[in-house]
Amino acid sequence: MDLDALKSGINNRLEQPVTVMSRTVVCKVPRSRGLLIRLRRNLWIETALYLLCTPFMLFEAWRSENFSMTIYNATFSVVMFLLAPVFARLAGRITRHIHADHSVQEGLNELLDILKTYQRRYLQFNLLMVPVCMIYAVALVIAFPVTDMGNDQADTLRLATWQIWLIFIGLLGILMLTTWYLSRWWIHWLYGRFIRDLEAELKSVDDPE
Amino acid sequence: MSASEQAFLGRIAEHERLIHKVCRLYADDPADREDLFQEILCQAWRSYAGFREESRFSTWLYRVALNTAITHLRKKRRFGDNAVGQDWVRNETQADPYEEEVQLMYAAINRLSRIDKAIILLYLEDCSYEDMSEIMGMSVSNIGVRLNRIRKRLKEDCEHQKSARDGS
Repeated sequence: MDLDALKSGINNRLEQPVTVMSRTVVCKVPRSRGLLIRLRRNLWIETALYLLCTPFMLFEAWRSENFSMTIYNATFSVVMFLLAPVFARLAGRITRHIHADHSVQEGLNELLDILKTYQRRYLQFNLLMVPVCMIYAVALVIAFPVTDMGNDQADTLRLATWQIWLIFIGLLGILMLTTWYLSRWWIHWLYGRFIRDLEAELKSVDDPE
Repeated sequence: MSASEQAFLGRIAEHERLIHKVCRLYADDPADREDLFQEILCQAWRSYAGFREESRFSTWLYRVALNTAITHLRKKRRFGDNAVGQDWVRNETQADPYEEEVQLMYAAINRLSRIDKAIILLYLEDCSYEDMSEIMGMSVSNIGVRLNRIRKRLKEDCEHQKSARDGS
């Protein structure tokens, strides 16, 4: 049984039309469910949200009467200001990839690189958000202290400064480790198998034997 | 509709057969094939502005279609094994020996890896090694080695399937 002998039969099967949809809608409604298009859409939404929020946060940081809230808002503004261009750059790279005329191998290499970069950025972003949220929590405690606490609660709060720092750093460490582990698990669940498959295929392309 | 849209759709209509082939080979069920068809057209339209006529339109369209199909496969494969072609083997009559062999070969092609599928698709289209090399981004010698290996594997796979079925 040889492939050449069956060529016409297989071609006949493959050439059967798969759709009756009108082609004319394609230029008008380019709504896509492709992997990269969705990824880019998410990145643009995040970037737009950051850019939208930053002026408000800066305004709040400038106007706030409470110093702790000023620190929080200013920190968050800086984080968003730094992250927005990173995400925008990645989204731009995806756009260039979408519009580029790649060969299959080049396309796979670029896709793999984009996905790995996205994984890395996702982890970095989540890890960065943990200390920011911790600062927020501390800022809230300082800004809005509980005044009518009972004796027991008051006793627990009589801690030395080094003890408070120890608790803060300990909590931060635990939260960052947990975040790192869960984010890593999630991003691997989403793209891990696909990336492994792509890597295996690309390896076989480089080494046909 | 603008002139560029008309020109694009006209060229697509000429090469539509090519997209159908890619969809048949890379998508599992009719709904998924329609999705992929639409996805390839969307992707081709997005990239069309960047097409500089440096290569043939069919070569460019193959690149777009294969790149899209390989990406599109991901979300479907997570939910189950790729069983394309098996439906034909099961559902259609086995009276004609040629048809039977075609079905076995088709099912064997669908068990290949994504890159091997693309190479076989181009081979079935009677593309030259140089064209295959341009579309795949691999050297001509690499294409030759892979093609021989794939053909050998397909032959063995078909014979194995046939003997297994005759045995049962």
